[in-house]
Amino acid sequence: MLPHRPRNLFLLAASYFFYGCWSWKFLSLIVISTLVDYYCSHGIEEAASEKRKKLLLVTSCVVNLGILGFFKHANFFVDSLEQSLSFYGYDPGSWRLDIVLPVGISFYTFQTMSYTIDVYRGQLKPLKNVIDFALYVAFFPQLVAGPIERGAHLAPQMTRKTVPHWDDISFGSWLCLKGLFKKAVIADNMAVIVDQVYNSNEPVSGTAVLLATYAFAFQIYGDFSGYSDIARGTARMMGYDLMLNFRLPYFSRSPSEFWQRWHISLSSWLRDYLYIPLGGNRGGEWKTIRNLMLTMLLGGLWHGAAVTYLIWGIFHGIILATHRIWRNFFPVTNNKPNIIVRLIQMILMFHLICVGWLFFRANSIESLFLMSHALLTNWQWNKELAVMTWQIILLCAPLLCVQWLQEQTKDINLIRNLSLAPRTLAYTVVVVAILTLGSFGGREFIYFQF
Amino acid sequence: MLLPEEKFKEQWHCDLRLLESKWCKRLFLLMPLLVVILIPLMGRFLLWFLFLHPVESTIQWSHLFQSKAIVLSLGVIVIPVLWWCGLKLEKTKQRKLWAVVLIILFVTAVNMLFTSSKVRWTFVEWAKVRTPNPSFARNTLFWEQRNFERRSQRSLKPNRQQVHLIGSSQTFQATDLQLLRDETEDYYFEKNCLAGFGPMQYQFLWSRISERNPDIIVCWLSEFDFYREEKLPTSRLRWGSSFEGIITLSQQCDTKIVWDSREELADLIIAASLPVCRNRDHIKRAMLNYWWDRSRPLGVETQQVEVLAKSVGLEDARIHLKNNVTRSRLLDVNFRCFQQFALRCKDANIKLIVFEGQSHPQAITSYDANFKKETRDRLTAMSQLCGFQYHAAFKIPKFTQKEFADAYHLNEQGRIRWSKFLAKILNKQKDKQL
Repeated sequence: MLPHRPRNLFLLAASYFFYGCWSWKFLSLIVISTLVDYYCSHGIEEAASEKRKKLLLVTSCVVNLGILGFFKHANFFVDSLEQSLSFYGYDPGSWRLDIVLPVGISFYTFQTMSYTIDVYRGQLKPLKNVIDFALYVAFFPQLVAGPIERGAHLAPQMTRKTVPHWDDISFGSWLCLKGLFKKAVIADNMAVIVDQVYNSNEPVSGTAVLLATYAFAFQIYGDFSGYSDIARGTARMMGYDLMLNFRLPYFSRSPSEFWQRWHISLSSWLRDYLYIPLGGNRGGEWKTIRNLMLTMLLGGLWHGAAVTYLIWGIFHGIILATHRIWRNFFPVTNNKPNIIVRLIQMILMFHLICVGWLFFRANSIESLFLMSHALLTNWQWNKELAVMTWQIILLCAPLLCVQWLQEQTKDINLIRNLSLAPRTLAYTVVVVAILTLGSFGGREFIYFQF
Repeated sequence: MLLPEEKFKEQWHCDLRLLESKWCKRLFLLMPLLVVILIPLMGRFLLWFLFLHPVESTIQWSHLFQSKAIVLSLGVIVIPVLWWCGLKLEKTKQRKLWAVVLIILFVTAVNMLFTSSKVRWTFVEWAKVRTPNPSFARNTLFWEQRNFERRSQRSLKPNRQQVHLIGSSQTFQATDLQLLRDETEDYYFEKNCLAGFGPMQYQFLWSRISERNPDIIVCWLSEFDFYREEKLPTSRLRWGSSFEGIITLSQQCDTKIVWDSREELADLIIAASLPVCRNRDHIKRAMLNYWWDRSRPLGVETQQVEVLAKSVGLEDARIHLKNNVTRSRLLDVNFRCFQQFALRCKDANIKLIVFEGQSHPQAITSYDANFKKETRDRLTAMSQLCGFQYHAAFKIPKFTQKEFADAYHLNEQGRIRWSKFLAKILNKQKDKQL
């Protein structure tokens, strides 16, 4: 309702207050990142020489990556160094720093960096007003866990007067409701199964590991895409459009397709600012594979400073590279295979993704090894496992059925586009499921830790 | 490779309507076949599906064509009819608001249905066989079942006073109803116990307690009940949530506690507004454990619950008590709530008898010994203010280790001794009245 300038100021204050409720101290990091990128982007725009532009770009990257690297990875490297020194018989004592990971740091640093890089590339004009830019960085719906917005998409919205219409409020409400369903009904209920197996101190069976991994696949999807939906819905109700972050990823038929459907904001960021600058697929097969591996390795590292995330990243790099080589030997002749073939491809790809989730979720290398071993050797069936299976089917099968229809019609917005009866039924099921099956035990969103 | 996207265009809406019309027609054509298949299936398996009753080994025509099965099977015809009506209504334009209105109406209708006794009874029977034993959800279902039984009971003998034993699993397992009946005359005994029943619940569940018309309420309370809880125990309050209970509870809390407990209070307010939310724990547990307790003996749904809470070993209990029995932030709230309950009993002419509760002698050394004395002093003062009988430890039998089944609950030996003592107190009560 407010005019544009006061509105942006109000939203910025609200965003800072939102973040400050967690920690006023770490709000300073957002402010530093904002000011550095604001002045660097303006400097780049006004710079006469290429050298100066590069210097300012490097400054922005160093500051942002420095902040990210320090808070996220310092202890990882310190621990690795300590272990290496201990291996050689030197006792370094404990150099571990008492560092708290600021919430959302991985998201907003990447967002501000992409903005400066786009200005450097001439793809974007920098925002004139510092309040507009500060709001672009700290916009509260997407500050904590994305989507990682691009300057070309979000920045212009900060300079326009946005008036939410009834359609925006209606669509935004639906997105929030959908997000709440995915988080409270799917993700948090699956989390109970996942924690029971992955956090168990007792040896677990292969069946339990398999079921818990399936459950985790839906937990992380429900959790993250649920948050993205809530973020988009909240923004939409205020008249802002945030980018789509998930496009039914478990219906992917290849690794490259998976990364066009999963955490799209991050995968496209890595593609545009890492993979392509490294050379992309332009330098021959081996260079392409190298670039893929490096990109996915850093993608794993982005998630956290733990060996399991690195392994997950490397795993996805390997399957991307393998798929590429496979396609070179067996090129696609039929772009529209029949439904059985597509189904088999989806199922195989889903299981490949689940292997990656096993690495991602494991608490440590030791537990990863034990669970992988159980998966290959120790198969059992009992009442508890039957209950787990039932719970996964009960909660996830309806979601998959609806998403199957969305996939067939290529419409993520299918439920809203349906006629009155099926639409009402779907909304009712969502509302009743949230009221009766929703878990409101205060579990944090998984991606808050990144 | 075509990826899915969010489609908004009018042309897509038209295409989708055509697709829906096609599928609606197909469903219409399929309906007769579906009904014919469903009728015998529902007839044979409906009770098994709902209540896990065993399926009859022989097939009988009368079972296959039951009226309920026929009605439910015919009911599926409604699906394509409603679908077609919706398509006709939205032929020219999508009516977004109608969906919202319909949902509100539907959710309201479901919640209103939930208040009807027939639906409640069906729900209790459906959920009872599926909730884990022991569990709080199961305990509350048996509480509800007693309400239904009570309504269908014939009138009691005249001059029979109703004695309700209200409390936690300690109270439940400490008393033998048959022994009490044998040792007393003209008393009707009833246990209304739930695991973890604390002082807050006495006040919060006043309507649930008073609707059963007790003449005498017997409680067993110790420092263990008062010196705990840092947050409002919503999981134990939700099932009986009411606006009156929430208001009274809030009045016993300081402003800061009310503010800090806003999440819990919001949960309770939603539960008070929507019966479906009040029973969310039951629904969730039953749905997530729908099929898989075949180890239960047949007819388990008619059995009284054997125990209210799992047995806890001494070592585990000591750790639990050490961590949880503390001078908690809700300590005074607990005392105020129980005082409120006591005053309500006084106003309603319900005689309240409170005994100092006991736990295993080795368990109680895990926390501050002053808690016991403070509880005793406060309850003594409260008894004088609110006019209830309070029997402190020195006035009642002291249980030895041999009389405990685990850290909290009495065994058979202890139960007999306590029940006899309680009977003696109640008989004295009767004599005084005469």
